[in-house]
Amino acid sequence: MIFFDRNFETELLMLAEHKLPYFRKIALRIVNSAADADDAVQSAFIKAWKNRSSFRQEAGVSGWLAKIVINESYEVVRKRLREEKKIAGVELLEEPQNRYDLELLDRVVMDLPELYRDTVLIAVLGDLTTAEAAAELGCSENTLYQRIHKAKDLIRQGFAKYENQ
Amino acid sequence: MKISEQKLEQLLSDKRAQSFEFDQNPAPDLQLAITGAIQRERRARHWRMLSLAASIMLLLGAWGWWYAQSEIRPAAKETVAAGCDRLEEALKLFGKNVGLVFFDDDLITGERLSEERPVNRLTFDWHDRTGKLRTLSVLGADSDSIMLDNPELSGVILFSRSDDNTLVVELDLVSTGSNQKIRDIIVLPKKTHSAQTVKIDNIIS
Repeated sequence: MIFFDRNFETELLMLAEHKLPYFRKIALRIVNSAADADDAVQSAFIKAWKNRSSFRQEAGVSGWLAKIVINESYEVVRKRLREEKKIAGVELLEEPQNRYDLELLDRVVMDLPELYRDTVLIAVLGDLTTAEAAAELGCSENTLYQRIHKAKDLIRQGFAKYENQ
Repeated sequence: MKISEQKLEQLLSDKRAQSFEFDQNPAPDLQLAITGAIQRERRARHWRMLSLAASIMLLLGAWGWWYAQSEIRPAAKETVAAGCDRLEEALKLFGKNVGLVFFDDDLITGERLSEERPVNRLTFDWHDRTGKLRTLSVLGADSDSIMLDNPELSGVILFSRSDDNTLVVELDLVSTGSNQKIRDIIVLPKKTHSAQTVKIDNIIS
């Protein structure tokens, strides 16, 4: 256990040093703010350390951490939306300013099932090659193509849902 | 109506192209935060382990004390009781004119001067040279003298009651087996008409 802890600690610190831009970019695509992205990434790293017992060796630490970054980033967005709702006193989603703008895209992606949400953020919006993205997500490239196709289909359905509201 | 594929690709491309200016490189702060979290957890674990160790020590201590109370003391009482019961039985067998002493588990008979019924029942404990606990149980009257002449134990035991509450016992014995002289004058300030254990310290080798 102590050996695992030491290895995990080394791995986390190495990721913090070498892959920080990658995690920041994922967070940024979600929270749209540099400061919030840094908060989400920091919170994700600490959460990863605390929950290291749930880490499975077969998956890479980087991919596992990327998913935690995504979850933490969405937590930041949800918190922000709750605060905005309190201030405005209205449900923001009821009155989108521009249905087809980037803000709506963010909300549709946020509502996607986790599997497709991670696919969009890491494989579509990220700067990784297909092979790198597949490794991060722990699947083959063919599976990744199928997931991307399905994710885009779900995004289009999401836009349609908001249009009907 | 769904968004067109072209429009979606355009939006995704715009999203991908979004750029933000970061104030500074947060890597050192992030590493500091991670190290801090790790240190905090290690400290907490360290204190948890210390508390656990202290609790175990406390439990062991309590168990040791309980064991000492429950096991050792009753055993001493049983020794006294057993010694006195044996003397009572021997008294019935040999009669009151014989001096009766149990030296450990061996009955030693001697000459007794008094003809009164021996009412004082005493047990003396001491450690011989090897550290072995030796026990001497004896019956005597208020004014009594028991002369022993045995290969194991020889000498005299004198009983002298000065008042109703004070009994003086003088021991002048030689334990041949352990090559020790036992000389002591013991003042018993309580009524001794019952079994009593006395620890002897004055051993002359």
